[in-house]
Amino acid sequence: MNPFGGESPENYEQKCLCVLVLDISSSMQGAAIESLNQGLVDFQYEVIKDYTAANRLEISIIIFGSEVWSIQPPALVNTFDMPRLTTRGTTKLVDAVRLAIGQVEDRKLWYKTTGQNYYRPMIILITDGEPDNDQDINGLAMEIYQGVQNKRFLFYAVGVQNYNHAKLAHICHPATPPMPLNKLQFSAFFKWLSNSIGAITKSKEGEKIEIPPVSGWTQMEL
Amino acid sequence: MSKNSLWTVVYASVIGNLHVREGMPCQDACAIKDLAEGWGIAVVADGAGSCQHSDKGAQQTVYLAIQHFANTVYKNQWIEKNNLPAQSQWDRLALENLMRIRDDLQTFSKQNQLPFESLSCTIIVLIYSPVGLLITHIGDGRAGYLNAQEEWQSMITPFRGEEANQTLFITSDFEKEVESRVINEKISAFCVLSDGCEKSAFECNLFDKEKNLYYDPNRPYPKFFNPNILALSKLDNMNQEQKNLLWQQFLIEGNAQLKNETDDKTLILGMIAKV
Repeated sequence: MNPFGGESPENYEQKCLCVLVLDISSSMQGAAIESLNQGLVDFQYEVIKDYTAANRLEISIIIFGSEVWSIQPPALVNTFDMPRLTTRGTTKLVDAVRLAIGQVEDRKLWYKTTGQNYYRPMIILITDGEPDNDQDINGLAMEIYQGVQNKRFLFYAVGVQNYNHAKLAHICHPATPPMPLNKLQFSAFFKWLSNSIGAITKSKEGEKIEIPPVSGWTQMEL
Repeated sequence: MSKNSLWTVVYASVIGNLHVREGMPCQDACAIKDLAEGWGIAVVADGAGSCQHSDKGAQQTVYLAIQHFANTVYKNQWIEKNNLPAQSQWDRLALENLMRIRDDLQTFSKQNQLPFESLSCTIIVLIYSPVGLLITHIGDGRAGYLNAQEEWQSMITPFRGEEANQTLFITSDFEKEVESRVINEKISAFCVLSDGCEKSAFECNLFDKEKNLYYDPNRPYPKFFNPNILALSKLDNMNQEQKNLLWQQFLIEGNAQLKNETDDKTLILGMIAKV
């Protein structure tokens, strides 16, 4: 028997915010929204299985159609049930991402004022269409470029089915172009995402965060 | 550690769960060197997770630190005088040595054709003696000591950036961020650890319900260290290798926190041998 022993104190974990910005416009109806819902459930299961990530990861969910709704404020992933999404309306993509950026800044401020350590927040946009004509994609592209460049957040976009790659690429930071989803493989994507978040919440150096290689769910190489 | 040493020390670096899962090497390294007359050096280095050769960087940094700081102890005749330097002298000598280590690491990177940044690691160097402690460090990790009043105290403040996973490395421009301290009192035990052990061994992220604030007391946890000091005091019949093996097992799965830790874990624990 090992003579060494000793109790550990009850320390809290530092937090990592991930804002999911999800397109529920009418074009997502049918197999796409069903796959997305299943992917979200699988994502929650994968994170909960990871002891460290489950105690560090806060998820926030914003959905958008003709309007934008924040349906899940930032919370540890094992403290809420994943919502079941239904489709409606058009594609207020820019408004939704702007809400996510605002939420990131608010949460960071809250972390700071309450004395909590945090990892760089990430925003994940999933869309199958292109933004409505009244949406300011040039302005959003600039905000994302500056936010990523100044290390305020990480931004990734996933394109579903017949998404407009050129417009989505315009919004994304050049270092992280949009990733096309292969055959509605949301579950594979969310498994990759949970692994990536796992890597981020355990990473040592903030200057360069390595995410796992993609496999299966996209046709592109990162 | 010689049989006649004033100190009993155990030390180990063990690989974290995440690195096991991903087939990565242990990026922590540690070493101790018993000098003479109860003086010795303990070093911990923690390789940057995202730097490809940080395991080699940590090992080389530990090796270099032992060489340079041992030279400093001998050259200044601290053992003969049985005296610690003044704070200002230690600040200067510690910085000079850390810069030498960085220079040597540059040479190592060129000789082995490895990018310098790929060797990034933090470093903590502790010189222990019968009259007190000298410590210096770059980056994160923790260190503490047990004083004559049997109170555990911390020795350093880990360097943290705005984000939780940001820190400073031996490969960084660290000149203005080095923290060095002289603990000029008799102590009975010390600990030096990488951040993979901090949640297990230190109170470092607590919640104050009244103020509604999280805070870092940076406090060695007595319920962690005292039982281990007691256990260490009863291992006189074992050689260093046997003690370290038991310590290594403890760091791997000694309690739930240690078992669940994903990061590599290093902890050096030393105590004055009861005479």
